[in-house]
Amino acid sequence: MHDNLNPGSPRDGRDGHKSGAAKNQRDHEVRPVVEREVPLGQQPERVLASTVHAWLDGELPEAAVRKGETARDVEFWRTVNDQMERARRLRTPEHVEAQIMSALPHHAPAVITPWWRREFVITPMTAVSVAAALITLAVAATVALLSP
Amino acid sequence: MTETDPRTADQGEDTDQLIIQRVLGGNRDAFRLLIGRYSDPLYRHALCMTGSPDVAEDILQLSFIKAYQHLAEVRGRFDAWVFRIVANGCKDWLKNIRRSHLSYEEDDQPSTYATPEEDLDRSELRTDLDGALAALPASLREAFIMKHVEGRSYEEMADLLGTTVGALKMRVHRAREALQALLEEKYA
Repeated sequence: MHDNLNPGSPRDGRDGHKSGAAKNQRDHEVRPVVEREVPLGQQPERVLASTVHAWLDGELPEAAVRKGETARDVEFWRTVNDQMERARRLRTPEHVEAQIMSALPHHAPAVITPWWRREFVITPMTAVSVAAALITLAVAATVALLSP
Repeated sequence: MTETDPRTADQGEDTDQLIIQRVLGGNRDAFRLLIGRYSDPLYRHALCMTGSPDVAEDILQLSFIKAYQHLAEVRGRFDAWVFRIVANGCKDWLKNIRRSHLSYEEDDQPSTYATPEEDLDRSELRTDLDGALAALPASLREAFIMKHVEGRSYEEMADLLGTTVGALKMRVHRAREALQALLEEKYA
C-alpha cells in the first residue's frame, strides 16, 4: 500500500491509473525543494578521504587517487561531474532580459552624493550666524587663554 | 562608433564602472549590457538553489531591478555585488517557502530544465542528483553549487559570501559526503 505523505494535497485522487512506483517517484519530484531538506545527521555516515577532496579541489592529479580504496570514489565523482557539466552550460532564457528591461524604472537611478560634495547655499542669515559663532568662539578662546 | 554603442561594451572595451556611469547619467539602455554580461552565472546559481526555472527567473528579475535602483551604491566589483543580491534572494525564497508550507500543484513541479526536449532528455542520475542537492541544507547546497557548478575558487567564494576559506571548505566537504551517502548505493 502506498502511504500518502501529503493527504491534504490537491493531487489526491488523481493518480488512480498510475502504478505505485510511478506515483511514488512523481510525489518525490513534486514536493517543494525545502520540504525535502533533511538534517544531515539522518543520512548514513560517509567520510571521503582527504585525497579525494584534494583531487576534487584541483590540488591533486586524478592518478594520485585512482588507486586502492579511493578508485570507487573517483568513478562516482566523475559520473557526478559529467552530470554537472550540463548545469554549467545552462543559459538564461532569452525572454528574461527583455522582461527585466521592461520592468526597470523609467528614471535614472538616484545618485547619492556624500554630504561634503553636496552644493550648499549661504544666505545672509547663515553668514551672519556663522560669523557670530566664530566671533564667540574666538572671544571664549582668548578669555580662556588670558585668564590666570 | 558613439560612446553609448552597446556593441563596444559587448566586446569588452568598457568596464562595468563605465557602464554604471552611463546608466547613472540617464542611459537606461546601457544597463542591458550588465544584464547580458552577468545573467547566465546568476541564473544558474538561482536555478540550482531553488530547483525551479520560474522562481530562478523571478529572483533574477527582482535582483536586477534592485541593482538598478541602488546602482549608485556600488562599491568595488559590480558582479560580486549583484551576486550577493541574487544569493540573498535565493536564501530568502527558501526561508519563505518553508514558512508558508506551500503545496505545489502538478503543473508547478520544479524542473531544472526550461524546455520539454530537455526534460525528456533528463537522465535518471540527473534527477537523483537534483533530489539529493535539494536535500542539503541551503548553506551546504550554496557552497557545493558555487564550487562544482560555478567553478569558483574558495577565495572567491569567501569574498562573495563574507566568510572564511576554511568554513567554505568544510561546507563543500560536508556537501560532497552527504551527496555521496545519498547517491552511492545506486551509482557507485
